Amino acid sequence: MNRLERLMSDISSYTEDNPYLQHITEVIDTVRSIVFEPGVSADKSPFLRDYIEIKRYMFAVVLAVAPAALASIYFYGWRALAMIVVSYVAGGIAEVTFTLIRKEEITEGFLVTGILFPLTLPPNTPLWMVAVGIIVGVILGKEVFGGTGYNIFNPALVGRVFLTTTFPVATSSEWLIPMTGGWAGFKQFSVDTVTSATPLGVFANSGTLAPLRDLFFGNIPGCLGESSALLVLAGGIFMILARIIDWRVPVSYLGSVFLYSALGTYLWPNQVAPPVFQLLAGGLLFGAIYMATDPVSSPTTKEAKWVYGVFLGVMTVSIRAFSGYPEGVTYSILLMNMFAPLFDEMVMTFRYGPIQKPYK
Amino acid sequence: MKIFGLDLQQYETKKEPDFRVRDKLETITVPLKGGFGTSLSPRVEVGDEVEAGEIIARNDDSTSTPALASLAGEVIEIVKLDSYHEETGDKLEAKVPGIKINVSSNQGTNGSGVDWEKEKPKNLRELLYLAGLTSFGQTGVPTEFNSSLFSPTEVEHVLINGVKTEPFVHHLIDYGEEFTLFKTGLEILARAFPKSQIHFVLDRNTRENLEELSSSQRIKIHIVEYESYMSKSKMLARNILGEEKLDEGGYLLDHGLLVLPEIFPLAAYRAVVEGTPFIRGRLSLSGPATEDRVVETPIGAPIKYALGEDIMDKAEELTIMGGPLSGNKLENLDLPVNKNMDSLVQLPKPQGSQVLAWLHPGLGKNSYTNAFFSALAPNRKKVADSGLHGEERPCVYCGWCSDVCPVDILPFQILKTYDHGMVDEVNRLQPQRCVDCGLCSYVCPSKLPLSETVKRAKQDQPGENHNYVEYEEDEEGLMSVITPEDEKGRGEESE
Repeated sequence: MNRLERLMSDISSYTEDNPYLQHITEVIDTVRSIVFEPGVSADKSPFLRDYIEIKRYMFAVVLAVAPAALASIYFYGWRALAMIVVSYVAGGIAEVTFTLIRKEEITEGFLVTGILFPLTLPPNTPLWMVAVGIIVGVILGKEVFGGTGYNIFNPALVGRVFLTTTFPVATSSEWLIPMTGGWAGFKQFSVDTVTSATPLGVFANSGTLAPLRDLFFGNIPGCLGESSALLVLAGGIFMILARIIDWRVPVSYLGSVFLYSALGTYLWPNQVAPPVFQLLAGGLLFGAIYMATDPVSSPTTKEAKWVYGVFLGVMTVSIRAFSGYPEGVTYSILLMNMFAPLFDEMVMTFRYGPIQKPYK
Repeated sequence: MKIFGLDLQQYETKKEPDFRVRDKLETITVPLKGGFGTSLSPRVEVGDEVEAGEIIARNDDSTSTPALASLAGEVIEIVKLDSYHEETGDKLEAKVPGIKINVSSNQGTNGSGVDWEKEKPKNLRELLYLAGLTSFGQTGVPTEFNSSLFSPTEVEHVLINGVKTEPFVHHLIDYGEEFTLFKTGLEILARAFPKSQIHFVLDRNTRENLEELSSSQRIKIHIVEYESYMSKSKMLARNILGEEKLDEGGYLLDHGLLVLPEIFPLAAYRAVVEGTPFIRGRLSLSGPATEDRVVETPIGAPIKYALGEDIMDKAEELTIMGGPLSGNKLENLDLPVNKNMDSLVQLPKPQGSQVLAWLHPGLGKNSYTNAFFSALAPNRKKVADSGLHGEERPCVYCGWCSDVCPVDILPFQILKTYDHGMVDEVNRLQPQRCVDCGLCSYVCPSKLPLSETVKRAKQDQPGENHNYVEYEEDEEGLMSVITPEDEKGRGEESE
């Protein structure tokens, strides 16, 4: 391993000196920093530092979503994996291109976007569309703002909304019926049984509710990652216990969906689905656990997280019940992303008072 | 064991420290520090013979405490010593004078004490001053001499900070053997400041006879939670004075609080009862890389000598002055021991690079998160080194820095606004509340210099004369910020 490390550092210093290869130094350095954690001492106090770092932080999210990703292969065949790979490759190219232009290091946030994005797509999305979506998500959702840490919107959802609005037929009119029993999807590449609507769509059209047991274990049509509520919840619990996400956002989001739909279904029984169905159907759990908790695009202060979650819940149920769309998780998260800085600002004003007026 | 929260106790290897005295010296260099940054002018010349405990430097016209010769001998040189910023640890341009003494006798002083119970408070304070003890505390210990910015009548509370909660740091006092002396020291303090309440704060109740102490009306014992930030005097001051007063800013003595180190009562006992001035300091050495010890040594002995021959300035170790979370790097072990030094911690430097460190199970890696398997093995000893364990990245707003902050500030927000020069935004976020515990930087996954930035923001706070920010609109309609500091150079004190 020492030899490999020396080789990489040699390549890095070689490219740095070579005028033609100079611009790829950052890429080489990034690869090197991913493989080898440099044994650098802290320069300033505190000299004792936590072992957590961004790579591990982001990897924990990937680990948490892995069961849901595996389940998507089980339900929809290996094509689901192909979608994830395409997303990583196409998004990775976009990310590296921007790194070269900006001459900055590649940041690890892409590890998460790259896997979350395909899981929000319908299982029969054409692979080229996956590539277009992730490239748009990475560039318009993140890089134009300055990269990971500076983005306003969740990049995976930006890509998702781009696809929904640009290719509405391909991304929301046809759904596949998942396979179950035995090895199911593990034995084949793709699934052909087509249906026209997800449980939320069925409810919007006819008022029929899908069985809760199917919603919970995953025997329902929908996007790749949202099929099984059980596995999404398991990933969420893992992340909350590992402290990678804050429990306040999912709890307030799901809680407000529950309360609001309980009230709504009493007042407008034809439009608002009952609370447990609301919680388990569609992308709500996936969104509440993986998307709304994205630290960069959600509020940072605790109080603001509560407010953010409540607003998300109200908006999601409202879109589901009173708009033309059967599902509203993506839109509500993107809309509330805009308000996240405002909520933080309100908390700061409440805690510390307004900014001192300029002295005259 | 904690499932949630920061558990720095897992680093503890608390071996009982070995107590030793190191006083066989040939030369010593007494630093002429008069407390809180003042330098003293020497009262002796090269060639003079000095006695142990003799005052060799004193400034009566400026607020300071005299410096004493810690051993008898001949003055051979007046040297200039490097000095460091007390908070940031940066090397300063100014040098501190030091008196180099060729030691002729390693004997201590033959002073005689007084009957403290009959002495007037004023005389007790005078003894403390002449023993060189009044340079402690943020603004010195008030006496009838010019030893502090405050007068003795302004002291309402005296707080003895006996909290050692940063990982590896030891107590300097053996509360078993030296308990009676320590207790008498507290009583002497109570008599020297008759109108004040004496508080003695400890991190854990190790001795039953502490109850004996609290039976006295004047001495109050506080046992605080075992959290690393509790060793910060400002944190303890918050608990005694209340948060509102601390947020007003100013010195602690502005609010009547005098904070003294744990060694003070013992030193006061020796100065008053035994007649021995404060010429021997105590220093603890600890850390995963060394053998733990508490050393008593004459002030002015080189640190390297004080610690013992087996402790060398090794390249693979980092020596820290103070605790590992808030101390400063000590690069020169040849510097003399001074009065304010109390603990040194040695941490090993990380050895080489680690392959795919982010995939390792990390059984021995302590973390605020539970993203390591160490969360499942709380009893396993955790590896401590001075490594950064990652690269600096942009802030991802995880909010951990504000979660661990004991005084509820938002370090990430201070970093962001400070880096953009938004002075009024920074001021609103109240960086002056910071107690310098260093936990924000400890937990940061992006390895950002949070605690350092909050410290700097704190120093740039507007003072009494309200350096408020002024806005001006330029031709393009953009707001440009003009601050008084901009005109004079940032960070300069306005006069």
